[in-house]
Amino acid sequence: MSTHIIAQSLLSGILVGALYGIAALGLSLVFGVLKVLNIAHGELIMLGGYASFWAFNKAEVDPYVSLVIVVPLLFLVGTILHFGLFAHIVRANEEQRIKNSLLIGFGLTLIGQTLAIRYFEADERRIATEYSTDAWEFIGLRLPLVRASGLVIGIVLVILLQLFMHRTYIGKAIRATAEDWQTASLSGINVRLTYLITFALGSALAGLAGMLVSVQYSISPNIGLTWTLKALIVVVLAGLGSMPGTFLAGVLLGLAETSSALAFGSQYREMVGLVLFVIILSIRSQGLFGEQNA
Amino acid sequence: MLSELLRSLIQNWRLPVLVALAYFLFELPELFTGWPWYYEEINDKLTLAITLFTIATLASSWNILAGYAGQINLGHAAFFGIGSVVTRELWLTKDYPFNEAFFYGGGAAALAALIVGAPALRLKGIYFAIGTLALAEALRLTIGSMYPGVSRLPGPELRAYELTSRYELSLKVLVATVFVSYFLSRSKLGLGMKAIREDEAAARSIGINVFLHTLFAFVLSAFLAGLAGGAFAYYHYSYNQIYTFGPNWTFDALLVTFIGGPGTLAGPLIGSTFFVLVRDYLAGTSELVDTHLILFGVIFILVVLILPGGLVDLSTRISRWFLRRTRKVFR
Amino acid sequence: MLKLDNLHVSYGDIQVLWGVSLEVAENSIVALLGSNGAGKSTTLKTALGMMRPSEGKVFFRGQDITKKSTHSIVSSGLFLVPEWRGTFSTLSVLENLELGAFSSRARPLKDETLERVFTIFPILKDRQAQRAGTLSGGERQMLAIGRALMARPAMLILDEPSLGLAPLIVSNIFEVIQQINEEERVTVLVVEQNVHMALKVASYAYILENGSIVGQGTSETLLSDQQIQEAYLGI
Repeated sequence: MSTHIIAQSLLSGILVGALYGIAALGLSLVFGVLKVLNIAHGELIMLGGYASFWAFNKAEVDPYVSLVIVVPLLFLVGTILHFGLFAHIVRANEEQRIKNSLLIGFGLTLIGQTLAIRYFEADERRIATEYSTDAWEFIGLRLPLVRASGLVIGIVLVILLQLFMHRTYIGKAIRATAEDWQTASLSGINVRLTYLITFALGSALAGLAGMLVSVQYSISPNIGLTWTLKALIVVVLAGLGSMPGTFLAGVLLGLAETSSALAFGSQYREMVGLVLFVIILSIRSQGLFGEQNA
Repeated sequence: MLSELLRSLIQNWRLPVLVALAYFLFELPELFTGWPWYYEEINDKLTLAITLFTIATLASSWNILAGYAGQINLGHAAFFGIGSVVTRELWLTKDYPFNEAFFYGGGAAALAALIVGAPALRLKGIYFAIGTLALAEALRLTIGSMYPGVSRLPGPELRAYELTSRYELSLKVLVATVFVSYFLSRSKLGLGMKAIREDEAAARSIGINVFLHTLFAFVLSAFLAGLAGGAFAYYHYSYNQIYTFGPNWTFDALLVTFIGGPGTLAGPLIGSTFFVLVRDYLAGTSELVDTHLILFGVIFILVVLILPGGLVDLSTRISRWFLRRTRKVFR
Repeated sequence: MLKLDNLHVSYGDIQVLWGVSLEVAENSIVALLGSNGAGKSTTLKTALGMMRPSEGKVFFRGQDITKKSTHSIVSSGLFLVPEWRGTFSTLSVLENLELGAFSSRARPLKDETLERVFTIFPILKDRQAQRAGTLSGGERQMLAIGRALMARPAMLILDEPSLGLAPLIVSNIFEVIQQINEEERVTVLVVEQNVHMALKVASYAYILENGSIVGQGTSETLLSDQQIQEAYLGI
């Protein structure tokens, strides 16, 4: 095995991992703040992907430009979902809340997937722009343009989110609510509104991830579970509460996948992530909220 | 003496009802054999019944861990899959007699649960749920690469194929699952599980071994799902081995159990009957595929939000409401 | 300033408050005394809209706030420093203080208030960049009170401010409470098991037992009352 192949697959691991990281950001945010696990997160990614796809296909809107529609659209979808469903379960205690959110997310998955098959058709789709196959070459390594864009967008996104969470009042309110919603409301923070904004923001992030999926890979109505699982693995790897940590864990997962594909063959690529996940999960059996109070 | 007997019968009315129902279902295909005008449809009906029994078995067995012991297992399909793949391979490739292969299938599922259970049950609640989901997905992908392609019944078995024996086997598995659930819910073991579901710390403090109780429920639940898989391997003449590992089997079980009423004997049965009949009806009337999934997705969310006890609870709520009304009238 | 009128409150089937009424006059310090489980925390939670009474009303500055949400009650100037201190341990000291000024009435005055809080609690100025989780118990109580002041409250409720603190720090805290009342013109309701300390600063006190007010009076009368002395002061 030449060093060239190793370097190339590590590079593609980093690139795919950046996308995993972006996909996980919204899930981690919502899970960390609302203590609600939205397993329909993958369906939101799918929806964002389709929104970009149709914008490109029907109106020839460049996928990156389509973000100005897709992100607000998913923000709106998140608002509606929270308002109609998740807002009703956040009053329960943590354990009950997570369990109910899992169940509701599961119901949403069923509905979303079926509707997608019906209205978007079951075919795999991808956005094929003029620059889709473009790539940079340097020291013999190939860097596909659209995949590199994911890494750049991911890094910019993490910096923006970090600024938002630490420099703005809403961001601080979100962090305060994540730690202790009761004390937050005693500080005059409107906890319900904070929950709503957080959930909608998480959905908007899923929309952005969806656009990248439809440009870099392909979308179909049943990709939801796959992406939810990827995002979950990343969240478990990273723990809750840190945006840069989540993104890095995504990159790590991408690297783990490609290097195991290199070592054991590509059919084990998907399994490595899942096995890693179960191992880390059982090490951290006290749960993901534990380390926050440390 | 007689009143004593009568009282115990009233208290345990479920048991005779279940026995009678099981007997009736076993005799059902026999009843129709003399009716020529019905004969054209009987294969459709038997197929529908087998599907119902399979989902009901998966739901009831899933309910043992989720409903009684309170742990949501999102990897139930893995045990169904293990049961089917082991049975199928031993029976068709290794030429074991079917009955032996069938029990090895259930045993393999139980063994897998025992091996996985030790680490997985250290996880609680949501972490157990997503952990089992991930494990099942990992197994599904492995099986997919180990057994690509379609598994078909070979010539001799195909020529001897008839549905009645398939009907009987899947019914037997369902009946076994229901009776196991019945006796479990009445046993000390079942009581311990319910205590864990209600309050794990309290259960621990009164000396219940939480780990052993949940592990037992997990293994039992897996064994029964494995048998359902074995019955499926017997029933289906050609399918992809990866098919029985699909997460939709878990999701169907979860869906119907919650709609029917988790933690009850009748809940999974009522839920799956409702599910299969509505699905069949919608498939016959609608041009569009999978309308039932949208409908059940909505019903499911509504149940979670406003009727956490499921349909079974709805009936008790209605009767309680009715009692209050009548009491008011009489007052 | 604050008036609780005949509050009945239940947790599910268990009723814990049986007609609690009390009044806190403007610019006064009032104490609510009682042992563990008497219903003090429930009374406060109901006042702040975190629990709903089955009967009775809560008035703040003449307005009925019984059905208002917690954050809007807080924004209207009634601030509670809860028994669990209510500081965000993952946020820095400065961020905690800033969050105190979250409401729209306090936000424009933020910098000015911050100066004053730093004058009252100089230690918070030194520790402003630290995470609140690294503070000691006494410092955390100071942060909690400082955060409350950031909200520019008309009235402050302190739930068990002495809980778990060394005696020297407790008297320190109570001095600050008095100072806040005099200099910042903040009305104070202090809920305490430490009856001695509470009666020293308060002008009037209520005694809560098993969910009802069983006694009340000025601090002097209560301190000289034979029964009170035996039951609560251990004299």
